Amino acid sequence: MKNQDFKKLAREALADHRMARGYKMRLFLKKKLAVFSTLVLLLIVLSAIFAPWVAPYPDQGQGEINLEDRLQPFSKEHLLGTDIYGRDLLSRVIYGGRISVFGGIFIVIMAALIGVPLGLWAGYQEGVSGAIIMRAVELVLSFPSALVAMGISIVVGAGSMTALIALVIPWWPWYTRLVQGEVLSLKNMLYIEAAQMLGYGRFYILFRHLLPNILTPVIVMMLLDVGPAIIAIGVLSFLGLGTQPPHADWGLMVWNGSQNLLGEWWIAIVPGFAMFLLVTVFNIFGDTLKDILDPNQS
Amino acid sequence: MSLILFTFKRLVALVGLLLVLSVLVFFFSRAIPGDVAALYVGGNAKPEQIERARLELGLDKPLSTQYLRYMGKLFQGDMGLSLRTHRPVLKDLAEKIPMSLELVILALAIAVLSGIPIGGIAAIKQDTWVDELIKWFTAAAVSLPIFFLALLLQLVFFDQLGWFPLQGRLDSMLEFTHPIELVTGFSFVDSLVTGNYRALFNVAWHMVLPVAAMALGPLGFIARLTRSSLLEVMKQDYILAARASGVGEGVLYFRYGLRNALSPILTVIGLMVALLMLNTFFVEMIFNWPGIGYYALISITSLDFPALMGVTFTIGTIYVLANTATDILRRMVDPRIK
Repeated sequence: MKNQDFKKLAREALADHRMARGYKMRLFLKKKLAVFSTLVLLLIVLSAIFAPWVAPYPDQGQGEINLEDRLQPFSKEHLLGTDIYGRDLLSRVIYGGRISVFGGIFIVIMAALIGVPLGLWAGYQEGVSGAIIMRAVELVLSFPSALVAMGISIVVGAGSMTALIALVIPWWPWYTRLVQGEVLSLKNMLYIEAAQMLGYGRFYILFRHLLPNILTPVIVMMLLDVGPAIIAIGVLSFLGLGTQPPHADWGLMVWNGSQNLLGEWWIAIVPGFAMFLLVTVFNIFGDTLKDILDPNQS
Repeated sequence: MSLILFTFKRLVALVGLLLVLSVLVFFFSRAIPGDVAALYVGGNAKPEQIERARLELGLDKPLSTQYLRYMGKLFQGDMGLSLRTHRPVLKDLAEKIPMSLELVILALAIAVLSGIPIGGIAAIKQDTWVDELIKWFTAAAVSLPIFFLALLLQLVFFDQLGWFPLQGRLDSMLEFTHPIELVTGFSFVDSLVTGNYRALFNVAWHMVLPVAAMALGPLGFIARLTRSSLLEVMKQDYILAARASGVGEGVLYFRYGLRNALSPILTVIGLMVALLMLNTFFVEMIFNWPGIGYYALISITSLDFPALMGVTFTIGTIYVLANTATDILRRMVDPRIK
């Protein structure tokens, strides 16, 4: 074949590749529920990022007390009512969304950053170090993860950062376990052997040859984990082990509101519903992406 | 490996795991800031009393000695005295555990017994409106934070509709007129064997909301898993062969398909038990149910360290036992697992 033919082939392959990409996008757009969820998700994420500009009462969102307007129901001034300190609930919910949105993503990313390299190593390098890693994984996974996180928060002292780190600690082994399994099934394949034969280093093979091939299940797992991570943050802060007042956090707001449930129900229900909404749209978004990215798995 | 050998190995591993757990919890809970001796004698104690309590509880010894002493007593069935209730922790636990297990077992039974058929129906009716409806329902079920769901149930079914009681285990009137005699600690069983039917119905009535709050999440999870697992199995050749030879659809799904789809579902049941044990914390707090979850929360906030050890041991044991039982069950259902 002449050089020209190669170029033509390459161009066609590239076009096919782009088509395939567009095809996945179109698959996604065809699912109305997924598109709607993505829009809601975007709305929540953007309002969390731009909270100081979006919230009608940014100061109250950050904790300023406004005793004149205590316990107000929905109204024009306060679209979602006010809480026991007279703070505008919409502003509180927008500010509280920050820890839920970014905390959830933070936990999942940190868990993957710790878990994936360890899994690569444990799968590729059978031997003492790999065995130690996998025993550690089993050990951590055999304890109720929420209890571990609660214990850490209690010992170290409650706070939003402590809560996030306390949740990463029981979370990473899931990634190690997933990646280790994938590596075990890949590492005897011919292309890996070829790479070893060519004298590539261990780390080069791990990150250059193995990692790209196991990225899809890892990303799928990450997508599906954000929802549960958001709930886990809420659980800790509901127990007073997360964000501390006067900062806003949905779990904490539900807890505070539960004291007034039978009169001013909105104080607990509004942040609770916000959490439910965010987790739902994240789950639907993740599920749909999973079906598209990893059609064999679903 | 034979099933018996496997079970034996798992049990040995289980004991080792519990030992590790005990070490971790012991040193962990002693790292919590707070003076155990001062907590034991209460707020207005004189310094000498605190010192005496310190000697009495062996707190002057090094931590490792204290741990060994604790473990020695544990094997004799002594978990020490609760710093808060001043009763033996074991007695507290024996009273609280059945209360929680009642909720957990019921919720698990509901979740499994309705989750599997719901998921099965969704798989059979794949891509119809039934499937879509179930998808919505289960997506909502797994996304509801338990504490929010519990409050929502209270708001709707007590405050608005008035169908079910707000909280508690028994009407306070009945506590006096028809108290439940303590036989096993399970209020259902106890009121049944003593023929206390008024209490039985009252307890059942009180249990509806907490059990519903606990069951919904696992139900959605199991239904989703059943659907995807069953759809996976239905792609297999043997199903095609069975269908070709004229086996009815119902038999095909529920006899040939489901059995092979069951293995991943059984795997998560252990996980579900763990989730349910944790959810007792919230549900019992919100519904004022006198179980181990509520007890654990109070122990945490009051730094009641012996009680905390006891609770962690209990929950850890239940968790590990559930996982082991699941593994054994899986092997019995699915002989392909090696």
